[in-house]
Amino acid sequence: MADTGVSDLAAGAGSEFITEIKDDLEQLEPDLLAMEEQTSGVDKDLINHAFRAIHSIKGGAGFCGLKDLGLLSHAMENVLMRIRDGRLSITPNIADALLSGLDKLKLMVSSLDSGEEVSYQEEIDLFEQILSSTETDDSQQTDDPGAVFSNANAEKAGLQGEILPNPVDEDPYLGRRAQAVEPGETVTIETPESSFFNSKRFQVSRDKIKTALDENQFVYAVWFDPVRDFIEKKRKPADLYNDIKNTGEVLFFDLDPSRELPETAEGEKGFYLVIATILDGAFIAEVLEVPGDEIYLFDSQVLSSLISGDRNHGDMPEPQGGEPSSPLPETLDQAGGKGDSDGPEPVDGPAVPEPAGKKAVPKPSEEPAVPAYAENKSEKAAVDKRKAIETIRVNVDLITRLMNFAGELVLSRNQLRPLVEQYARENADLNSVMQDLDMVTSEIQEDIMQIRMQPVGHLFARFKRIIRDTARQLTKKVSYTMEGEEVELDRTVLEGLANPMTHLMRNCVDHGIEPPDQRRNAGKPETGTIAVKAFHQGGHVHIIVSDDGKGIDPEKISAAAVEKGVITSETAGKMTSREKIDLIFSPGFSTSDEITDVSGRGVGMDVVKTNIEKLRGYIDIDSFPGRGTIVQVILPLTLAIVSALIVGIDRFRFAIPQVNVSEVIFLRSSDLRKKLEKLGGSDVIRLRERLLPVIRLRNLLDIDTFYIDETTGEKKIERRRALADRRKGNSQSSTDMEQRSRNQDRRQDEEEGLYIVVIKVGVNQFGLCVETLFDNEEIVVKPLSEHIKSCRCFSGATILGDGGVIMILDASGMANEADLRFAVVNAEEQRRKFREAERRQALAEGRNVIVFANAENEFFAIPLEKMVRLEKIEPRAVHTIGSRKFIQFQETTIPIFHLEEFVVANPCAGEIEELYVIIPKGLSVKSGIIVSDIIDTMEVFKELQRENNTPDGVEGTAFVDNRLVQFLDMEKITGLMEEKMS
Amino acid sequence: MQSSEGETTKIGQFVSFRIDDYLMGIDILKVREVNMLLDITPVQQAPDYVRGLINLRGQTVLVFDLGVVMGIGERVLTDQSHNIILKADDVGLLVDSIGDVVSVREDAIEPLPANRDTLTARYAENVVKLDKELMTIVSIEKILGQSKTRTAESGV
Repeated sequence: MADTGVSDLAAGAGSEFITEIKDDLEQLEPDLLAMEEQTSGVDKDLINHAFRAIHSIKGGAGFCGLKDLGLLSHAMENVLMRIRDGRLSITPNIADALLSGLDKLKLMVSSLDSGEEVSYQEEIDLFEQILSSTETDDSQQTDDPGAVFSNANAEKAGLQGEILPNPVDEDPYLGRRAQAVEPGETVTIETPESSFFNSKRFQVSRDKIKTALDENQFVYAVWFDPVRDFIEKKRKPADLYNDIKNTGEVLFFDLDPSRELPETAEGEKGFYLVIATILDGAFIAEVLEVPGDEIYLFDSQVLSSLISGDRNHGDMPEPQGGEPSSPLPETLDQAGGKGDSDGPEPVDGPAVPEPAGKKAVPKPSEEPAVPAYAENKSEKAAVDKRKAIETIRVNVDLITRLMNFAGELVLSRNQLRPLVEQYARENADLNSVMQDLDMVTSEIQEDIMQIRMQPVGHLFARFKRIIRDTARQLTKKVSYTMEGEEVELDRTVLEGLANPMTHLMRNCVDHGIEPPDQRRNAGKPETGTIAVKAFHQGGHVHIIVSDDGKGIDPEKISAAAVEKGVITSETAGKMTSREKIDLIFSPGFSTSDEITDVSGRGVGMDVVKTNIEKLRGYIDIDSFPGRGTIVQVILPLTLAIVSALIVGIDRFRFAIPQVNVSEVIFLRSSDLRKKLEKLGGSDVIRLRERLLPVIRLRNLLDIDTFYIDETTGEKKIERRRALADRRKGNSQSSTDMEQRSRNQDRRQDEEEGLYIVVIKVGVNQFGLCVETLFDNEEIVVKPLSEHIKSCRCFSGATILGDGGVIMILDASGMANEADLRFAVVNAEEQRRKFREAERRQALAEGRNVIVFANAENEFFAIPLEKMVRLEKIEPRAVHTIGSRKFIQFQETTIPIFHLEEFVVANPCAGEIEELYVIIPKGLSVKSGIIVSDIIDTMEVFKELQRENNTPDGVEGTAFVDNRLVQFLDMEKITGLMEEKMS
Repeated sequence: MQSSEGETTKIGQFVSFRIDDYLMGIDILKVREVNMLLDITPVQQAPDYVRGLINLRGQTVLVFDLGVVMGIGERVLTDQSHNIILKADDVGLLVDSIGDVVSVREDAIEPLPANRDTLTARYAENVVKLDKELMTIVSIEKILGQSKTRTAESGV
């Protein structure tokens, strides 16, 4: 039963409706999932929201003549109505049925173009089963078999006098006048005198008006002429009913559809209809085949104050939209005009839930719409609906073109700027004009980029369903939380993320979360948790997926890898845990004992990684066996225009996107040689606390250096040398080339150095050695042609302000190409940090020291345990023989030295009254050190600071009692003393 | 154009050019433009037949060295060198010199002679007999296809 015969009207405006239907379908899924979770009674607002969505789908389907869509949505609406009335509670099975009904609806909509048949008999049967089971229960409760809904619905509808329908055939209006009777529950609305209706009044349900206003529907009064509308058209009232009920909610109709009209119109006065509908004036006129002036649109503000203030219509001043025809052109523009002018087609949208081919663009002052189960749901939903009027649907292709033009504009501006600067001296006005142009261009570019940004929440919300279904399929219990849904990403990045992340989610449920009994045995709660979180940091968006499942066992992975021949067991033996876990990303890898239907085998994580790297992103896994796993995805924020650092090798220039650059260091060649170490096959240098692997861009890209052969005058290619070759400056080899290169080296040594650009790739860093550093520039990223996609080091090309084309370097590409083993470097870094901490710990243990001064205000300390004796002497007691000094001590003469003979220190002041002699322990011959003043003895717990420039003989320094004290290295000093004495 | 017999004969037009001594042609319908933008930025690590990128009025266009593609050898830039920018793929071909646009009657286009060396046979689709020489018509598909194959082989 394929849907055929979309009416002419629908075909033109139909695409709008299809888009609306798709939106509603998208809204339904999170609603249904949320409803399923509410075990203690369904939240009213939530169910109402879901109900309105399905109702609107049914309406739209009816209007477009989509029979199958209408029937299926009608059935679902019935079920939801039961749930709304509290006569049916959502069990997982019912949720399954509703969700699969929803899937079928989606399938129907997407098959509209192809005209393929979508069978939905199964779902219909399921729904009827659900409905009939509750029917039998309820029919026992009331006397009147027909008035099944009586109490619950009546309250809502305020239509107590109405005979409400049989549950199976849910048509509230067939066979009955839908005239409100209950006072207090109704309001009176009145058409103005000037209109066609001439002050006609209608009494309608207050609730229905409220609902209509909440949903931004239009409320019309319509008049049907018996001759024109029935007799001449040979139309039966029942048929008219069918048409009308599909267009909206009937508030009043004084035509009994079961009537048969006589052949002549004598005595027939015509019929009034009051209807609330989402259709605007022009459509209503066409659908009902009634001329515009016989339709009156009630002013929504008037209605709104009516129902809130409970005043009668007659009290209100003449509403603005008095002329029936005047609202129509406006609404026509608002609803249909803009989108249609592009002649859009309802094409199947991309994976991300977006209306096909179009995007709603909110005004800048708004926030993006929130998912339906946010707090304060109905209010938010109502507010969002009203805000939705301020959005425009724009064709995505148009936006892409705009983006490209914005890029070109930036480029041209960049080229203009230096030229303007040249002439600005002659003409000062140029500067201010350029500034304005600059600002406007940047703003345009930013705003256009903003259009393409979408909240990741859309994507996150989809996972809910996937996780639920997968968990159910595998009989596991999983709960899902989201954080940071409002974080925005470019829509193409989001699209690219959908598949890999879906795979991650499935993996999580499949391999991560254990079955409930296993979890119980492990002392964990039966329900596992999967949490996604998104946040901005430093020009990137981070998405973290964490679960509390069984984690990834590095040993198991490496064993499987060895078995599959991905690595040798020898290599495996040398790997760190982290590296073993990373093996998951190897192609063709899987550890599943069985091929599960769910996440498949062996094509998973490497494809995920490749896809993410295609988006210039980075993925990292960390895991705690038994406790859980954390997957981190890091993505760049902007795609097309980036700020970049321009660097150079010889005459070649390259751009490095600023988001990848952490800092830039300049190192003289000599320093470089000193600091370079080899680790895990790469060169590393120590940068503050970190070990940084470094690569030379020249080597990475195989850029040859040329030299002029002195004898022949030819230009020849220099044999490429590794960074470390620079260390071999003193090699004995004597070929001409090396001699020459040594000469060159020496020259460079004295004058030059290298710039090291510290580049971030994900959580790691490495240094890139370049020779020249230029400016930062805003560049437009031009993607790489297919033919050169194999160049891993480049992520694109760009055109600089001077017209030159340069390549854009790709951080992770370079790291891969250079085969940087970050895990090894990081491990070594950790080891060193640990050792350093240990050392400091040892130093920082409390020890007793004696603090003294040599020159005034220059303080030193010696551990008490290293001291034998402390004597106070008079200066007179110092005897000088030649250059040596001696004192009398315990009936012997011992040599004494000044502190400044061993340590960098200022000498004692000339005239001092008393001196002290410190006699250190461990000397073969007793001798002493003269100092001027003993400050104190104390126990010191501080860590000593040790710098590169800490002088010899000093272990370290620390602040003690507000004094900077140098702690002496007594071993060193006693050693020197021995030397002096021998 | 009417032939003397009164039928319409199709005319093909070709942009003629030279690589070394070979006279070659490309279907003009496949050519977007011909220029002398020879400031070509090399792309390191690209396949050998990729000469580099040029700035074509704000767009980056990849230039192939046609000599390398055909295995005849790298082109040396001279003041006669030109780029033939193709419509397909935003790609340009670097050649030694450009000749006239040659109009040729369809019936003058012949298939490759059997004794043609295999090298050029890989890239040519037809030959045209001109007054003094044979012009080899080059097949864009074969040129671009070749490069794609070689790209694929290098493990992209």
